[in-house]
Amino acid sequence: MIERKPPLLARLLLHLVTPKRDRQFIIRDLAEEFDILIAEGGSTREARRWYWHQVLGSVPSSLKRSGPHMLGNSGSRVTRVTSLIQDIKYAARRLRTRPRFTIPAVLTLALGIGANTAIFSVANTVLLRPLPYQQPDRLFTVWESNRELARLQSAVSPPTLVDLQRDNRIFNHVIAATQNSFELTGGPHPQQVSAMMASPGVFSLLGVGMIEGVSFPADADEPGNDRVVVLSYSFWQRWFGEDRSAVGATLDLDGNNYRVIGVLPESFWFPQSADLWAPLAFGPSDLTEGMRGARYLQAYARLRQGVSIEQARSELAVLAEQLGAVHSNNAGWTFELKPLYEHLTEEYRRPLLLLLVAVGFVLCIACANVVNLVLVRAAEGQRETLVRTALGATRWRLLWESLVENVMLALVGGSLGAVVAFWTVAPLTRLAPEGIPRLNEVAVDGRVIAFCLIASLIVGLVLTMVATVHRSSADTQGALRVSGTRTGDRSTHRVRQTLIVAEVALSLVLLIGAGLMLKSHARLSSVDPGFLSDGLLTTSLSLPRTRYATSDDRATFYSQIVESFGTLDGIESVAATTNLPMAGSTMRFGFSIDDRPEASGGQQLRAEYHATSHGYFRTMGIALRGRSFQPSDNSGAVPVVIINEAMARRFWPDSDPLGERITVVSQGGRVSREIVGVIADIRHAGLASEPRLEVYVPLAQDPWPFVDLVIATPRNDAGVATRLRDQLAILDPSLPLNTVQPMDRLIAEWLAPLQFQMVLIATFASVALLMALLGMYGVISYVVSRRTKEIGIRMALGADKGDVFRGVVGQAAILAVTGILIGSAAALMLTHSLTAYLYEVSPTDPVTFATIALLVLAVSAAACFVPAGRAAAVDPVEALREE
Amino acid sequence: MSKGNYLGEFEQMVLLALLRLKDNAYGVTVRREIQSRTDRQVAIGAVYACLERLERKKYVTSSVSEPEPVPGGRSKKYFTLTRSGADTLKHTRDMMRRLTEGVAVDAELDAI
Repeated sequence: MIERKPPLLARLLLHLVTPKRDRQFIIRDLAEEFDILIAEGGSTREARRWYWHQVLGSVPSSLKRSGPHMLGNSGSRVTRVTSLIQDIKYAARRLRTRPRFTIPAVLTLALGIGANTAIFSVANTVLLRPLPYQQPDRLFTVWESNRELARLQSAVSPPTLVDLQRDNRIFNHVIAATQNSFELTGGPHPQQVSAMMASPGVFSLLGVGMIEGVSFPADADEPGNDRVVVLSYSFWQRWFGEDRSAVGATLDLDGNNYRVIGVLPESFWFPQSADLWAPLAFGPSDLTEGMRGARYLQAYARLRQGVSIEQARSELAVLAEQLGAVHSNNAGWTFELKPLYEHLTEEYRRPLLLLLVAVGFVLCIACANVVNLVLVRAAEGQRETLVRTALGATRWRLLWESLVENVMLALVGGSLGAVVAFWTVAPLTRLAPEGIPRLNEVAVDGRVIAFCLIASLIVGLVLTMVATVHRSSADTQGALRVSGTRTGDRSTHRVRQTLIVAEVALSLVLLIGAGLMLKSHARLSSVDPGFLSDGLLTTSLSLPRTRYATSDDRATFYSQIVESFGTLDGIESVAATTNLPMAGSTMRFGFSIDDRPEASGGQQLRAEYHATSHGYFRTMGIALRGRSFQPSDNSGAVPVVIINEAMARRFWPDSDPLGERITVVSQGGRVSREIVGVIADIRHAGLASEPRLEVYVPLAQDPWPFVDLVIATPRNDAGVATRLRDQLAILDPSLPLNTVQPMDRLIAEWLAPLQFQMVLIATFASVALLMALLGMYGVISYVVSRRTKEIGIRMALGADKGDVFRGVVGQAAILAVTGILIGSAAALMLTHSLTAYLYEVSPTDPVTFATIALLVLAVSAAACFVPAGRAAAVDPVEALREE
Repeated sequence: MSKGNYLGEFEQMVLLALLRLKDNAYGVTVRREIQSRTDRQVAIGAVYACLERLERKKYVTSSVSEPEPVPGGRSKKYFTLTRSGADTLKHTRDMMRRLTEGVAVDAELDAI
């Protein structure tokens, strides 16, 4: 949501450039017209753009009248402006005439500032920009929480949600939203559309209006009134071609007619995206006492105006108390309120801050390199400066000139950096893993430009400060007297050495961070997931309850699918399961071990539950002892179950579980089943998580209305997806098949967020190392060139080439080792913030630390070999004659 | 009238806007008047810069109003044409008229 106020930055600029006598009138005039534009029906965006035009258009005339009054010093305004313009021209000329200084400095700064701006633009959108809703700070997520059961953030059950909605002292709106999908028919092919089922107040809660039609009526959640849908903008485009008559049309969803009542704006954003929105309606069966224990709804609430969050929390505590007294399923449960902003961003705050720190290091190193260049410049320009001082130039005058020059340098670098950021942001967000909120909105906006500008100004100031400190320490008279001297200025040299040590230390910290992540990634990638993913394709199906109402219908259909898909050309075997590993979905149900009530230790045992077709373990390459499921394990046969090794180890550590019985809860209630097989542990919830207790039952004995299919294709055959669809069309022409994708993709997607972070940090670390290398090379070459005469004398006195070479390398080695020691100490303190991203790697892993230290040492050595070689090649006669 | 009293195009526009707006001429109205009648984008800073120049030449005077009696009410800077400003504008327009006297300007221009 854009503020209905003139843009802050433009107002600030206006304030700066307009002369004092008219300032308040101009600012208020523009504010008045801004309001008029909005009152006349213009959008805030247009009005803000108009405001910017006005301000930028007013800059030249205002400056011409008055000069920038913010640069207060003596003299009339006109003279001051003229003199500023002259200073700028002078600085530009000086930069232009020294390309060997300007070009590397600008490029280094562009890289540093650009990388920072790009990462900042992501952080800006994800963390800093207010959520696109009305008064987003009044929006909260509501959770049920039970300390005794250690369930601190549990979703809300339907009857409890209704209780929350009834109590309107705290909230304006309380709504729940849950994801769903429909089968949409009426187009050329049936297709699966995603939907959000939400309480009718959802759009009032968010403060979002429709661009066509209306939002849900208040009674849309009563069964019978709920056959209405609101379309997302993209679905409206896709299905109706943005036709306004879409409102009032009907859509055939899961065989029922839904009336379209509204269309959401293009800018609408919600944490879960959906094609359609339909009212979440509760029937009597959803609101029974028993359903109070079914906590599955994500609840959102808007706090009433004037109610503080503390008040809301204490009111909710009272409500929870009352509910607990009446309903046994609510006893012991309280409510938890969490700002929506926090709920959406907490997962990304740390990684983004980490990246900002990393990229900040890169900027520091870039600055250190440019400072080095500035020092070389200052040394070269020292005589000019001193002559000018002798002729009467004041210290302020020189400081001012160097400030103008450095700020200009930084601004040019920064502008180039902004361009770099502008071009890298889009590929960056495409590389990023899915699920980061609002990542598609990342753009270089006013705040990002302001960031880039401020970063550039700070860099300009820092450069000036260092150059000034150096200048004031220079010996004025000495430098004039000793003409053509090559004797280095000690204080400058010390500054440069310090900078190199700092660069080495900073890049070492980054490299260690990257190294740790790399090692962790290698460990994760080599984890055996327990199944083979090579040559496997996956897809999924969901059966509409209207046409596949009974278990038998579903079981029959699944066995037809598995059988007929398996005979297709290029397919080796096919199997179905309710939950694929690493796909993020799980079902957990209770179980107990028959005749061994003591095994549970008095607690309800729970296990990950899967219903799989026969051939699943073979298709997935999962090792098994005992027997696998057979086609004969159907609803009429003896109930059987297969467990995993983790479960066997825990409950049958010394005996064989085959032939034992467990009772498993599922759709059909509690069923006692015989254990017929034990499979190897697989990493179901991700490579980093330890195997959990798992039970598998035959799909034919418990057919759910949705399955994932795994298809083994020995040859890399692109036509398989088409053949699957054609075959499905024969079995059921109105059933859509979801995307067919390789099983490898699931593993890759699971690794993606870690990989993204690692790639970025590794990139920053490499850039940092490269910059440190160049900085080191620059300094050592400079030192060598200044010591040519001294080296010449030494060699004339009998020092051999090896001594000279070793001397130079030794000097560099001292700097590198100091940097490495400081950097390692800093890394020891900092890397613990990486713990959350490391798998089986300690944040102070000695191998990584040692390897990186050696790498940095080697790179430093490489950086000084060329200048050291040059020093060793000095001809004493030449060196002495030169003076 | 000496030739030093020449008025630039934009100055003429501003003075004519003051003439039309009578006693309601302040930044917003002047800017909007010129923009709506000439169809060209006018920056508020340019309007004020021009008015300041005209005021220095004594062609316009300004007065600051009392703040409006509403919460957050603002005071405005109103501009009025002076006698000397009116004379200069008249003189400039006279010059233009004399230059076009006896020529059917539009028709001749179209014929080119």
